[in-house]
Amino acid sequence: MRRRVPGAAALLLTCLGIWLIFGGVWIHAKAALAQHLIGRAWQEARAGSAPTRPWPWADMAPLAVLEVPDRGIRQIVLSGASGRTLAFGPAHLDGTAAPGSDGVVVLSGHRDTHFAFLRDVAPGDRIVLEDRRGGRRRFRIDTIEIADSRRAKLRLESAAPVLVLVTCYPFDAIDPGGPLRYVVTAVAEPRA
Amino acid sequence: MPRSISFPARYAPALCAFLFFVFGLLAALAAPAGSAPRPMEAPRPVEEGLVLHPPGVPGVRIKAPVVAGTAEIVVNGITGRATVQQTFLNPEDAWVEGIYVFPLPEDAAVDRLRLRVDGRRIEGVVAERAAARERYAEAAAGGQRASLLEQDRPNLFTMSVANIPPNSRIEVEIGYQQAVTHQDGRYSIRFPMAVTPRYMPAPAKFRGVRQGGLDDLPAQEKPPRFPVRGPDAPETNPMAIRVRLDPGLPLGDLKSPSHALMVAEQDAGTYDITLKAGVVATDRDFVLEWTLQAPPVPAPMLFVEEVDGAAYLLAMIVPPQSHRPDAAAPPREAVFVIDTSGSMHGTSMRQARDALLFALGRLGARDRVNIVAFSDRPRRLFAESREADAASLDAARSFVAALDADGGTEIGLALEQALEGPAEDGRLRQVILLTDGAVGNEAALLSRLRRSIGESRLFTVAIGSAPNGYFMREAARIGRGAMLHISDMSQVGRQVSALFAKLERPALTDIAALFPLPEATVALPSPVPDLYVGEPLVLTARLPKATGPLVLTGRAGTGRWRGDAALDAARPGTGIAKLWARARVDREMGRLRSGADAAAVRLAVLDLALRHGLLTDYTSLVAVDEVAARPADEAMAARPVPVNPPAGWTPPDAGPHGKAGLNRAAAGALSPHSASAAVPTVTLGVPTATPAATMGILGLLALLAAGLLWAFRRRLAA
Repeated sequence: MRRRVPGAAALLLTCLGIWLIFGGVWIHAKAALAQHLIGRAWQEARAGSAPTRPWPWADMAPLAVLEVPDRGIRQIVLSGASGRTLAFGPAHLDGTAAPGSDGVVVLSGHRDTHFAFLRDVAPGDRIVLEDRRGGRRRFRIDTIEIADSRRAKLRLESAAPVLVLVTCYPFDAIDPGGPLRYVVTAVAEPRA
Repeated sequence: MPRSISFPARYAPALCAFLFFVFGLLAALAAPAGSAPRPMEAPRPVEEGLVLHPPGVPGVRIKAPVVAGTAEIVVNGITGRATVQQTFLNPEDAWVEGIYVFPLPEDAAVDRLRLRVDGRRIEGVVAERAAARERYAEAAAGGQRASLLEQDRPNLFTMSVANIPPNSRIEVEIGYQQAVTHQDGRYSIRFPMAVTPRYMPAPAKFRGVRQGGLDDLPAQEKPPRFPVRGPDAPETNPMAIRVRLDPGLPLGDLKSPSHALMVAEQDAGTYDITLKAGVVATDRDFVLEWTLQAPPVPAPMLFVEEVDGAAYLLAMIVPPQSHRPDAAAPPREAVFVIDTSGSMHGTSMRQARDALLFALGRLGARDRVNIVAFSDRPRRLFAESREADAASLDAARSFVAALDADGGTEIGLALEQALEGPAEDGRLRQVILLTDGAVGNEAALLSRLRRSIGESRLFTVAIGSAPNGYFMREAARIGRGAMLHISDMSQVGRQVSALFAKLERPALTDIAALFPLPEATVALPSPVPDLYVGEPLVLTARLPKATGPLVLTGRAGTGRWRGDAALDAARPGTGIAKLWARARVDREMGRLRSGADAAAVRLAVLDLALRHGLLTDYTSLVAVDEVAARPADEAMAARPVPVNPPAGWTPPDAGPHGKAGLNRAAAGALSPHSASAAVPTVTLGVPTATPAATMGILGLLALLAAGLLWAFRRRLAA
């Protein structure tokens, strides 16, 4: 009888451990898988004018493609940054300029999945944003700042088109709910 | 120990892992199955969640919050107490922070902010500006409903209301104290409801992320910016007004040059006044005027309030008519400075032209005249002032007729040109500035004026439905002149001749007020400014006890004037301490413009503001609800509330003669495009990290613990 208690506990802990690890892997798998699925919706969105959802119950649609050529990054940007959308890809923050328009476009992404590459970018790096009409605009990273989301607000006002990429900071933190944000501001290059 | 029990236990971990794997695989497969291209029923447009778009995105309508207001003003003799309610309506499906820029009277002593949520009233507190902002920002980030009232200019305020629930509302209430104005026997109160977009000679530029944004800048350098609704959008921000008037003495007549009224006489000579239209658009200032059936020389009106052992006095004394000198006016030099900037476009420009033509007609042959018109740059009629003979006046008239409104509002240069050099043969130079005062750099302009004014006198004629009253009044005070406001086309003749009557006659000067205990008394304004015909002497003072005689002396032309009043006869009043404190704050801020130590001024103002609970440049009112309303995983978007353009105002590049680009520096602040989306901001609160790492680490820890337990069990078994 005394032997059964540790046995049952070990069983429970094993299940929990596997479930947790699987959950963690699943987050990353979903992030990668979703990008692939959304890629198809993107092709359709590019072809036709109606916004397409990658799967019927999806509450977001692909808006643009974000490319960082030097890092081999090509990601599909979704509409409406919320916890659910961000699981599938970087997302456009509602209320900021639409990709392709002249204004401040703000994109959010998870620091440990899609936007993990941000820790390696530096001012001067190139970013390309392709909108749904196929327009490509080149940006160059201008500043990288760390802001406290409880206080800082991003001003959506600019003379030149600006792309702002936002992710959580620090990159290696265990706690996913920290207040700090890594803010990468890129300014559009004059069109050639 | 039966084997049948330990058998499943031994294989359960593997089974469990297998089940999870299968489940995971199924879940992973579910997504690709769903993604098969399938026609969707009524696809939602992507833009649905987007409510504010930058310039250049066609076909997207702005959905923005609206502020509905009511104002109740209780006038008792010569003081007024106003309660303004603002209801912030959020039409969006998301949490919103409403930011509303609105005017209040330039001498208002704002002392109350109340937040109403779920039937509860949360009283606001006065705190130092940065501290108030911090408290507000923390509450806003934490999902609590909160409001913050800040002073941008003495007559321009910003109300921020955080965490307005989706498709819902939040009510805030503002209270302020105000003195009644008296001029030529007419009493009036003004409730400003529109703000003319200001010209700020500074280029707008992207600044990226800033901690706290523009608020790090001193209040006076921060350009007041707010979206203005487009000319074809429906009117927004409705307002209802009610005035309860107790004039103290039998009422003569009562009218409003700005709005149609409904008047009901209540018991004992008090009146209940509402707007005939019920609710009006906030596109022009509300003005209420009344006269009293009083003798031509009314008795001094004294009101006293006792607060914390000190007596606060408000006195309004009209110098008797007989002391007004009627001597012929000495020859003078009249220089008209007329604003032809883009903000004057429309009715304002017509009013200014009419007023100027009328004024030219009143000049005598011995006078000298010149005109400076300005927008981006000043333009002079004559290189220097000329005799006001028929030829000069003809030239002046055709110059005025050709004036058209366009470009920036560079008042500074124009005034310096007008004030250049000494006036000829000892004449008095009178500079008459006709403008809507649509400038954002008041502080810089006023200190520039202070340096260049010399012996000249400056009179300001405020044009348009929402002139910048604070700037006009301060400029006239520095220039030892007077301010006149023209809001009604039909009044141009009467009001301009009244102003010229003033210009032509010397004023009551060198006024001194002698209180019973001069050392213990702080009287304002100090020194008492010159009085022009029809103006009463208005004094506020803090004194130990309201008893004894108050003696006033002054010089009228060549004679002397003396008046006295008994302080014991003062009637009890309310809110006078706050008016006195507000006047002292004004004086301290005035010292700042003349180069006093900024830290000392700040301390003095802070002391006054915190003691009397006032809103100033250094203090704000903040009210915070303790209960968090917004879930942490939902974002909040900041939305500047669009305001109505003042009646008769046309956007600078929308007018028939407007040239896009002329208003270069102001384009950011004034162009209708960016106006509809001026300085929106977003919060960065959306969490952008997954719990993947945490889950992985916890999972490994659990497995490790399980392994240890397993080993422990084996050892027990062995």
